[in-house]
Amino acid sequence: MESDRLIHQLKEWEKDIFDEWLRRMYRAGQANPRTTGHEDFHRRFNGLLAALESCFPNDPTAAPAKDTHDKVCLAQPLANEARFGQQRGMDLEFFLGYLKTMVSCIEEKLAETEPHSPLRTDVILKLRRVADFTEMAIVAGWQTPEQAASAQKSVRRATSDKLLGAIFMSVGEGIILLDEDFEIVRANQHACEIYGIQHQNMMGANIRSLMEEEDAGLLIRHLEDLIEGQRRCIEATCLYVDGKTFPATVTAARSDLEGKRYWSLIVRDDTQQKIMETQIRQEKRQIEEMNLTLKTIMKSIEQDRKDFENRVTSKIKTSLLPGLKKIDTAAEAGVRKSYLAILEKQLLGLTTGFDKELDAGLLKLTKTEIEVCRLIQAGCSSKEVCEAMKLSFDTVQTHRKNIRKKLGLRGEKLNLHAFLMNRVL
Amino acid sequence: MWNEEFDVVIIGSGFAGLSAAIEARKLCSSVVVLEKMSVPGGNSTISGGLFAAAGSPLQADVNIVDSPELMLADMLAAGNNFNHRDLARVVAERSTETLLWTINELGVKYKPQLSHLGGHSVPRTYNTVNTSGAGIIRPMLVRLREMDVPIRLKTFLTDLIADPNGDIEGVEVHEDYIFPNRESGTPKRIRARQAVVLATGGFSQDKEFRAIQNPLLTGDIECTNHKGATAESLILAIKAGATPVQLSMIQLGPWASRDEEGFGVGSMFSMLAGFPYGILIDLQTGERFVNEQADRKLLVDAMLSSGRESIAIVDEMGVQHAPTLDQCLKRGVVRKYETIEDMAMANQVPLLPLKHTIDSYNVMIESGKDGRFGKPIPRDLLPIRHPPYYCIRLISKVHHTMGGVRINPKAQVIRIDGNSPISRFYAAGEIVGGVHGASRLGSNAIPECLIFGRIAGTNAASESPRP
Repeated sequence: MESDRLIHQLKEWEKDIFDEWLRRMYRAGQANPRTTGHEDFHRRFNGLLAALESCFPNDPTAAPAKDTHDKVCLAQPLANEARFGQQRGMDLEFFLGYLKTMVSCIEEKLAETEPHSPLRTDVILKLRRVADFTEMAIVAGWQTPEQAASAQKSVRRATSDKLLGAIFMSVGEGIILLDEDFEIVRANQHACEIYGIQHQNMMGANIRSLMEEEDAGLLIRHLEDLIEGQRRCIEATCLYVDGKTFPATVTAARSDLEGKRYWSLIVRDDTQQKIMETQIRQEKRQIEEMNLTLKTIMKSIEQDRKDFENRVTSKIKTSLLPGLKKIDTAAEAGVRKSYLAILEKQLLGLTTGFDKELDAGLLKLTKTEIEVCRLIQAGCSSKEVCEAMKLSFDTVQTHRKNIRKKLGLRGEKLNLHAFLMNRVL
Repeated sequence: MWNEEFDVVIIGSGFAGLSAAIEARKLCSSVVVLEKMSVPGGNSTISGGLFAAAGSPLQADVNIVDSPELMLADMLAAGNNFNHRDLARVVAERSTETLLWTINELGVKYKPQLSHLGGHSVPRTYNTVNTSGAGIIRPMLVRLREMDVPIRLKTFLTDLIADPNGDIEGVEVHEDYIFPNRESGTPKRIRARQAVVLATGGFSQDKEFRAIQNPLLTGDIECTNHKGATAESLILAIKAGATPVQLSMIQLGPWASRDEEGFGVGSMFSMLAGFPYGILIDLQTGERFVNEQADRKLLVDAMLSSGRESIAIVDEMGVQHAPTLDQCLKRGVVRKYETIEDMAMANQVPLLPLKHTIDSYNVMIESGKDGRFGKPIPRDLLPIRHPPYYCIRLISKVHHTMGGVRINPKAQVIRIDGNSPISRFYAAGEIVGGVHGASRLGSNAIPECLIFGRIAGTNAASESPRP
């Protein structure tokens, strides 16, 4: 094909054509490394040649491109370039100048070759036609700055609407939008799940149907009181679809749109929280009870300590001091010695008694019997006890018998002295 | 091998699943309902709440003569005799008994007057007071809570498990499933000591599957169903050996609104006011083109045949029958015009032909016979001449899948090889095929779902427990 050859030739001349084009742009004061670079030129030049090529169908019998659709196809690659240029801040005049200069450089290059060839004329004519279509498409497609801005804005708005919608639907709290009739106009997925109601059934439902009557009334009174921008929070008993009730916190806010009032409700199912609150309350009560018990125990321990002190004091008064007096008045050295031994035992008993067990049996003994026990514990024989307590031998023996009986030792082969060794009196 | 065990396992929480659960729980101690969506009720709860019953108390009140035989004849006529007659007969015969069950046992409240839906010979349709299937679903959910039957949400059926004999022994599910992400959730195997009931509904929202069955139903055709109405459980049932029946029988609803998504509020407006008490107009010609009270299939075919865009018009008198009017007006689904001229201009209908159409329609009503299209003319049908006028822009949307798995009148799923029931496997509701044949009559779905749901529940709970 002759035309193919010629167009191919043009492609080889691209460097020359570019240099000439750049020179002219420079002379016109339009050269600028940002807008007249070779890369952009290369793309646009080839776009133009591709359009030109399509004007020469491979099948010579096919009709040449002439209907509108084809025109659009011809102009499209460069029209797209124009849109691209516009986004990078070029103005229409510059871009048309860019294109016209390119076309005229190509024409000039073609003129240098093959003078008077009909093919050359044909190619030039077609090149002009492509250039005209392209120019038309560029002018038609060129958006005024306002248009461009608003087109961009509306794209941005649609995207952000979608995003907002997606967020609205997927938020983990129930969100409900009410209109002036307190009917639901929007509800997100979580709100539907909280109430167990399908989205379609939520739409248009009255807020009263979602909670217990009293709480609904309260909520509506709050809604009517709200001023724009204000928020209020109420606790309400809500109804699940199967009639089960659950505690919820509803945060309401009012927003006015096109002269109409709308309320947004954020609903939180408090079932889990309430369960936890109850648990915490229970635990707190248990701890308080435990505290009280501990206090009582502490008190009784304190009481025990006081009792013990009292006992020690009274022991000193009743046993030790009289003992000392007796030693003081005793004439005989042997008796004095035995009194001293008793005193020693008693003093030891005061300090070591803590580790030793109390015996319930001991509590049943009379005062005199305890006295007898103490002397026995201290190692006194019955005779010594008689002397110490100024009692007859028989009386002491009776005491001993009674003591054994009370301590449950009757018939046991256990010496009273041995039994009393480990016991506190 | 099994993570859990129940006597009866029911898949799906719509009319069929919940009624099966109620009946099953009366006969055995542990029943569970599994639901893949995050809220219960499926498509049933967004339906219009219409219940057809032959020989009902309201019919007796106004001396309407009706019988199960007549209802069956209507079903067969609309269904082009494609119906599995034994199943259709069960629906017709037990419709009134089941209606009374909803009233007496569940406490469902219906409006005190009947509606006359297209394709039915007589008015026989009850309507819940809130014009919604939720009016029946809610009382069932309350009942099941009282009966202590758990409804496990976000639990997705991934397999039906058969024992070595091919009897159904349990199910595999994904718990904490997030619709429609098939990868979500954790697998679990639940055993059914007595039986499994499949009540998973239709597949109107399954654009791929419905286009396989009927290539005319391309993805861009809208749908009235909730998003969960997909085919995966039907496919599992077929894999388990069930017989597929008439899967290409897919119904479009002619009454849906062009101005809202899904079933919306417009559908009930057209169904209860626009069609019975108004006229259906071709926007291009301003003329009627069909009997507005024909069954859905005839209407859709007429509307789609020439790519018609159509509107339904009703006047102030007719609009009294529209329960959802306020919602329709609020959402712009129905528009109100003071004069016919305003309406014609707003909808770009040629005015003179429209006026002529309305005039001749009015004459026809007064004469008592629609010679051209054969619309029935009951006594309360009045001429259209009381402004303001209301109109709704219509578009057909995929509504119901008549096809599904084959069952016998005991709700047992029938095996494809051998023509015998698959043991311990029941199905009820829209998953079942063959009841309605080529076209389901409006308000026949609720009785069907409840009747076979109850049969399935009773029979499932009567199986002898596995060791």
